[in-house]
Amino acid sequence: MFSSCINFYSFKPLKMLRSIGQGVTRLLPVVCPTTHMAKAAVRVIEGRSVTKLLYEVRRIQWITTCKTMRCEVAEEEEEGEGEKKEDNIPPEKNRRQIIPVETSIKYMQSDAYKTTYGDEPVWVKYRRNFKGGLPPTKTRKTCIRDGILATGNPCPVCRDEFLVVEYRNLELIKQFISPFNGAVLPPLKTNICQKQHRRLLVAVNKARDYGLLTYDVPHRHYDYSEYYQPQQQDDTTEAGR
Amino acid sequence: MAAAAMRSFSVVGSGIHRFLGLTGRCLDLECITSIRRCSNTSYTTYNDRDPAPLFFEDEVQVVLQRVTGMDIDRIFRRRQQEKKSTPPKYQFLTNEEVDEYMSEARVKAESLLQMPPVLKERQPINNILETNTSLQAHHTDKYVFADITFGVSDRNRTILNRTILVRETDGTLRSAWWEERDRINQTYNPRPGRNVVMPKLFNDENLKSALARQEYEFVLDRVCAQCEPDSSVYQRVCVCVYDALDTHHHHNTLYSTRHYGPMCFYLAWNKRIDSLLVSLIQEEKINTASDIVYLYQLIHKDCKSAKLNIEHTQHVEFIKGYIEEDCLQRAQVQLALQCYQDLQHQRQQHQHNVTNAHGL
Repeated sequence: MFSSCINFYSFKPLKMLRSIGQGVTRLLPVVCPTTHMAKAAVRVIEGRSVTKLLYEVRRIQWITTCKTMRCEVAEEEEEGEGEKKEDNIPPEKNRRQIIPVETSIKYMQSDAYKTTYGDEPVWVKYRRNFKGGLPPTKTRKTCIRDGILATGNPCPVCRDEFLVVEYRNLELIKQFISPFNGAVLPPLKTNICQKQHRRLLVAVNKARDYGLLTYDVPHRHYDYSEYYQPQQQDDTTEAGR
Repeated sequence: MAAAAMRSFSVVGSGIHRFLGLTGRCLDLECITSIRRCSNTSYTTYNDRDPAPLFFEDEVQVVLQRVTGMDIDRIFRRRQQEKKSTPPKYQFLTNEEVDEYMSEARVKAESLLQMPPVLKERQPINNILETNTSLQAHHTDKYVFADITFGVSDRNRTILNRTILVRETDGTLRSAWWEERDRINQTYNPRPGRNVVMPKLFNDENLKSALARQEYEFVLDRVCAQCEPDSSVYQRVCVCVYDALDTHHHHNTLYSTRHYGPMCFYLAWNKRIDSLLVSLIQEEKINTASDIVYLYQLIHKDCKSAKLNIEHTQHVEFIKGYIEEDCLQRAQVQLALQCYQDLQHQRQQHQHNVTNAHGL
């Protein structure tokens, strides 16, 4: 079981090719083709006029036969790739780590939050960048792409990794509800990205469903005649007619 | 691969469970068990005697409306209705015009204070109209036939449901169950504040945490908007709320709201007006306290204190009559009444001293 580097030639059967570089749909690796076939195929490709090509040859290098070595190589390759990817992310832009809601709730009570935001909602001191006098009618789609901050001026929620918009985080959610009419503030006012705004709407509706957030329920009027008629013995509530 | 298969199985399982929970009778069973969890032994829903004839009596309605009170600031507080708010208008008016506006406001206040009806809990519907075995393999889903005529009220609307039960292979035409009726009514006749799916607030845990935060009015408003007054969910939630109110002596939170009347009726029905009386006497609302005792006598017409024939307008004597005969927590009510009488006496004495000092 020694490792050996063999140059494999993979052959793909093709019916007709107009030119040399046409698309390859599937490569069928062939183990150890005979040299004359390889040479023949290569010769065909190198030729100028190609009317009928039987095989398209691609040269694959550095594939070992030994299983164990292959696994190790695979691991090393993956680790190498992973390290490279994470090395490239600056720590202040890294949003790969998921922060639990409980941490966010604690953060809202902490001194760090107090010194950063004071008593105001988190969106008040944020300044949105745009050209011209009037802002675009929609905020950006999302600040975080593939777990990394993809913008230079992220929205008030995305810029602080410890602000988690969830139905249990009432302190944060209440900041995005208007104190005048109880509605969720529009994203043009709060300047949060569209993705966070949708998450906020879900969180607000869920909190109201669980009864964590109260609101003024619309008044329901009852027509007493539907519920009780003193003349009849039975109620008019009998259904199933 | 095995793990993936397990996950998919559980999703399907929960789907079926949810489906059954919405359409099946197990909903009623959940309600019955949760009553035991949530309330004391003597608190039950209206499932024996029908309270409606008593509740809708003129005398009882008058007493309940009087007891509810009319605190204008409380009734017309600023409500957040998610609409664009307008600044208030200031007008110069004559006295007659002011009186006109005030009477209009009083009419509107009375409509806002309309009490939700107190009814007996509704029984499950078991009405099969037709059993047609020729339809048995025709379709795999239920068909619902609903009368969507404009102007037909939700309570009188005909909703039929043709089923083919998966286990029994017959096509029966039956009336829809109460839960199905509620969902269909909301689908075809949507009302503000009502959802197709029951809010999670009415589950035990969430209800308890809401009541621990003393959001009694919100919970009652929500359940009025969502459910019918004779549904099991409505009755169970109301029982939980009244139970919590009574335990913590927070009756005052519902004062001058539409829920105060039904709460007093419920407490009087279950012979548990003592803590309410104590809190009213401590707030020096002797008129209201005597009204509550009068309500108790109207509901339980054969109680001992009614036979004493004391005048209802002599509030203190009236309450004392109740304490001696029918009261269950005599010591507390007696003590409260005694404190009130001492306080009144002290005030009178103080006034007398002041007038003497002024030489009058």
